[in-house]
Amino acid sequence: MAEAEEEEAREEDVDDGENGLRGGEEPEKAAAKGGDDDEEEKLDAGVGAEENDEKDSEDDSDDDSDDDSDDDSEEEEESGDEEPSDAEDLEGDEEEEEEEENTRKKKTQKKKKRKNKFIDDVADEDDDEDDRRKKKKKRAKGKDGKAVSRFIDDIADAAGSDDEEDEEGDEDEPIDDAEREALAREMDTRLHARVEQAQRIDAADDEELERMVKERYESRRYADAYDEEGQRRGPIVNEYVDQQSLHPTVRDPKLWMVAVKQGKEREVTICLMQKMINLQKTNKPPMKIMSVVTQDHLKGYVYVEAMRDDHVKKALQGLRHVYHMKPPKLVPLKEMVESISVAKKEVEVIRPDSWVRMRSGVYKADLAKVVEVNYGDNSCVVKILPRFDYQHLADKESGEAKNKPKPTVRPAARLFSETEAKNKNLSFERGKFDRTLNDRVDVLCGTHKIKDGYLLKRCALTTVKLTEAPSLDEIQKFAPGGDEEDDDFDDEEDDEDGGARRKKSTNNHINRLAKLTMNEKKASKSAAARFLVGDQVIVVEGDLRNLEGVIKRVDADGRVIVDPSHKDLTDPLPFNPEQLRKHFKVGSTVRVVHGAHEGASGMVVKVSDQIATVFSTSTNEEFSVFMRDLADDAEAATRVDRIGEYALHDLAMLDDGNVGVLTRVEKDVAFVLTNVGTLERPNVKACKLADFKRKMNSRNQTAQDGAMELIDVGSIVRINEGQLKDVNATVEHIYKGTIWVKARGVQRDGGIVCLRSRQCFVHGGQGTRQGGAIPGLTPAMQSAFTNAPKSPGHALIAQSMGLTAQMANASGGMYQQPAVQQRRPVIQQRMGRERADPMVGKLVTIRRGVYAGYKGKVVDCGPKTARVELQAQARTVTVNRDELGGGPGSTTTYGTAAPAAYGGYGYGQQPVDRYAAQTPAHTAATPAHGAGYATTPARDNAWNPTMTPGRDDAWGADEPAGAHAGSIAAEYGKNDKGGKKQLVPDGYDGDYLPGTVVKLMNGSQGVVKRVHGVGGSALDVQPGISNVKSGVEHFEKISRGARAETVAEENVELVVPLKGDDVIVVNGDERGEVAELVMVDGADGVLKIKSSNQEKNGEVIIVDMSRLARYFDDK
Amino acid sequence: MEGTCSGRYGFIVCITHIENVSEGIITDDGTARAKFAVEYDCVAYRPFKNEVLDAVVTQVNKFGFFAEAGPLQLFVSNSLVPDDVKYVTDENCYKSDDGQITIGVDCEVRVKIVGMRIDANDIFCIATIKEDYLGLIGYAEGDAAVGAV
Repeated sequence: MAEAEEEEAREEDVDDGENGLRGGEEPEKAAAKGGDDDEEEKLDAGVGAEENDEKDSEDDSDDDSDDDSDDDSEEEEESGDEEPSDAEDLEGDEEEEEEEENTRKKKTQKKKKRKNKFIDDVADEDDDEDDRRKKKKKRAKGKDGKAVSRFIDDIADAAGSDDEEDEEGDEDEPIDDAEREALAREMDTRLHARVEQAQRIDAADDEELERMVKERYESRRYADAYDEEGQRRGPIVNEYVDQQSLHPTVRDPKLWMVAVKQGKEREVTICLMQKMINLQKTNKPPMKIMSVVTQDHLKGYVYVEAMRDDHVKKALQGLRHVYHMKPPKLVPLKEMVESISVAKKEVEVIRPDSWVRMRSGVYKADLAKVVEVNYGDNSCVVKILPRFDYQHLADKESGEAKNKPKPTVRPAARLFSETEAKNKNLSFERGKFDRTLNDRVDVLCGTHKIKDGYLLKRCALTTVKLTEAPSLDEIQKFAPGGDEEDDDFDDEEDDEDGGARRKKSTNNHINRLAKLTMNEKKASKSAAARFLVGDQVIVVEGDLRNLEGVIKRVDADGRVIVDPSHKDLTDPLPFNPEQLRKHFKVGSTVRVVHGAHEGASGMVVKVSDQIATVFSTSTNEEFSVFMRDLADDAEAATRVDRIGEYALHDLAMLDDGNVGVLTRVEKDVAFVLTNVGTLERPNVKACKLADFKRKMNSRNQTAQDGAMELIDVGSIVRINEGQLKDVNATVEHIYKGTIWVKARGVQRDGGIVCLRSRQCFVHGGQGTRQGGAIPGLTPAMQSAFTNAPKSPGHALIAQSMGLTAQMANASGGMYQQPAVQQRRPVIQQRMGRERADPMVGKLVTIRRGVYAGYKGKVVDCGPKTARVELQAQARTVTVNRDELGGGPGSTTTYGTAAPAAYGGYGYGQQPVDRYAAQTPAHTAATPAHGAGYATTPARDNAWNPTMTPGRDDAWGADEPAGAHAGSIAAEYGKNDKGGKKQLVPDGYDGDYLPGTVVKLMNGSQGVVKRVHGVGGSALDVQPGISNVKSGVEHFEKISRGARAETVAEENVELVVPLKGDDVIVVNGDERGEVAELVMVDGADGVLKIKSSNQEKNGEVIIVDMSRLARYFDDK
Repeated sequence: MEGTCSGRYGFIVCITHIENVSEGIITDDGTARAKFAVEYDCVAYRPFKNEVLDAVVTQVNKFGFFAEAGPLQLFVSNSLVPDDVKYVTDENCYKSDDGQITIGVDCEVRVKIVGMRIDANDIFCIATIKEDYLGLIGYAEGDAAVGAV
């Protein structure tokens, strides 16, 4: 904030208008305290925008010396008539401008209060004049050679000064007004009076002077109560009240916002001050503004303090850079304080050994180490890794540079290479003593000073900025560990073991460098802020040095509560963050929270002082980081690295249409192993979140291996080509013909390998699944994964996955054979589903539809449709399976099975089963059929979680029941008929009796209203509303208004009832019975029959759960 | 389940007894699959920190070497290898200065677990041989004399 205050003017009597008494009390008091006599004037050219002002240094300096001193950051303006010459003033101004950067605003003011005290018995106006005179007098004294102390107030904190200013305003205001008027009226007289006053003061006796001093000293003490280190020493309440009273009131001068050209705010401020001075000099009436303030953070505006806006306008008249068209805007009273407050900021000073970053130029953002600082001329010398463009330097030397375009590429940062310089014939002087650095350096091209390969660069302090603690990699550049470093850092520690000497000395350097960074307040502070609960720490300061512990919590005030890991110290202890350092033990799981490796997690394998070597488990690599950049990663178990929605090892499509697997995730970037690469040459792309298009799911994808075997996600494959030949790997993802596998022992890309599916052979396919040679999975598991038809539903899936052949085998008792024997020559198993379906390849006649009468060969088969290659026409058509008839010479009808044929099967709704049942070999539903299911080897693994034991039994069990099923269904139908429309076709023996609750394809549930169609193949289902109960959908009620829909029976499935539901027995002797499900005991349900038949009603029976369906009574 | 790994119980080596199979819950993903919660007893293999175990070296590189103890993968960083044992690039193995010890692929080593990373379905350990009584205990079969692979 730069503030130009013109109060000296007041002392000089010239400034009627500008007694903006601001600034205030405190500086004044300081003056009183420090000065031998009360020197009142304080200039205040002030303005210190940055917080770097050196405060205390100038406290007692002399006027005269100040005027001449360049270094003096506070410029004092003496605007007395006889004082500095015009020229001096101007010079002073310029200086001020320069100094602004480093100085803080200061104010000096006389205080009304003080005045009153000094001269009690005078009327206001006289008082004023007296006061002036007195001051004048003092000033004269100073000039006479008496020590005049000067106060440049060393700002305590900005907020404090604001308050002071306000206070000043408050108290002075009324008087200022009066004063102003008086002054305006009696300029001349005043001049006179002033002289008189001065004389009077001169003559004032010691006692009076003493009183004045005392008074000032007293007030100073109030100010002392706070400030300095921000510690409050006085009674807080009083202070608070005091501060309150300092706030501006309506009677105070207003604050006006004046629009000025951006970047010219300071200039305008200084111009105004100069204007004021000039007015004074020429004895013209002063401007009627009190002060001007500019805030660095407020671009394009300055604040002017004045009573009225025309005063402001007048004052600004003729000034450049001011937008005169825009009227000054009034700052509301409430916002006045905030508008000139400055956020308290820690003063950070660039010191030798600080780490800084360059702000601009070719070295922009480069890390540099400050070698020396000259605060006088605001410059420093930094040590930086040079970015020399030797060719360009050579051109420059030979004067050709002008003819050549300026190199646009930023040269790489590396140590200076003398050979390269010689190659280019650059002038190079070794060991030249440099006076400014007081050291011997090498000089390249006469300008670049080089030491130990680093460039010593002198630059302005403004072109560098302090940096946060740099990361290890950067610091390492400053400690290459070579011999040349050894003289740079004196090696206190002796390296014991010769072998590791070099490495160790490097580490020592780094550690030392690290310590340097740690010693800096900022570094330790920012590190402190990064303490997280659970971090392991070690105490590095105080009595408890070397105590280890775990952070329990971090308090709001920054204190850290630590649970010590010590057998005698059990209570949590509070520490300042500065006293602690993160300390991870070997083996800890950690995450990097800062620096180049941010986001990586791994385990600490080595700890040396502050540096930890971390082994990343995701990339299988080691790296070194500062311990302070680590955090505990206890939750690593559940945490996945992710970027947006894309997690490590996900399959994702990129913007360019390629698909890949994330193999590593860093801060903002993920590394994707794309399908562009091959086994030999993997293609890894670094992608930002924006480069991703969408996430892919490969769960249901399949691919074919080198032997045309089917590869699923999760299959184990043996790689058949390249370096990884014969390596076993697990398939993670499949996309078209590319598979991504995770191979043990592969270091690259976190073990993920991308290859074409044909470059491997699948283990555990049909051929090898009983081989058991697969690591990690037992034979049983493999069969469970790849084989094992689990339930009717699975049959469908299995079929679509090309396992129908197996199914057919499994479901057909006659074909039943040990799974081992299912190993067939590969050639037979070609082509996925074709081989699976016996119908494929058969000659058939289409019996219905547009292609009725055509003959053709079946080339493909789905659950309901088949693709037939027509003989008469050269094309392949899709037809429904039930439209197919046997081929010539074939007496079998496929899929067209007479409706009655279904009748024999209680579970006839599954097309595949139906189909199987109708193959010639299966024509008769034999008990063996059921047994076939039960004895499939895979199913024997009863513990296999993916299968359904309950169902299993049922399937075996319901077989015989099929025999009488028909009659019961018929009965049921009859019973229910009651003159109404027949609800069930005669002879229906399916499960879907009216009233059963079924689940539709879309997942919703409904109640079967009517069964119709051929053999009961169609159902009218009234959809309804269901809720989730006990983790499953539970049908609640029929949606009124919803119309019953007709669905094919294969598109619905029974809903498993819950305890307490009404159920209907759909199979077996009790078919059609409605009951309440009292209890579920494993695979059995305990039922209490609800029947109109008194005998039966209430009877408790036990029925296999698979024979039960939920029943919903619509009444 | 056999052959899988749960972060909580470790590797499931063998299932010995099925305690209970729950009622199935049909999954809602349109596949008509059902889930069953099965209680079972099993033999599990769960490594612990500071456990000493024997493992077979599977891979060697300059960062250290990987070893397997059954289904468990271990990594021994070169900073957890004794100081006098160095990586020899040409032979891709770790060799002691006196040439007595050579650790290459297929060697048996005795290691101590110093850190574990337990994921939902995997366990990975960092181990050390930089302590007394740890290190090489046998060479690869058929390679008894040299040990280098």
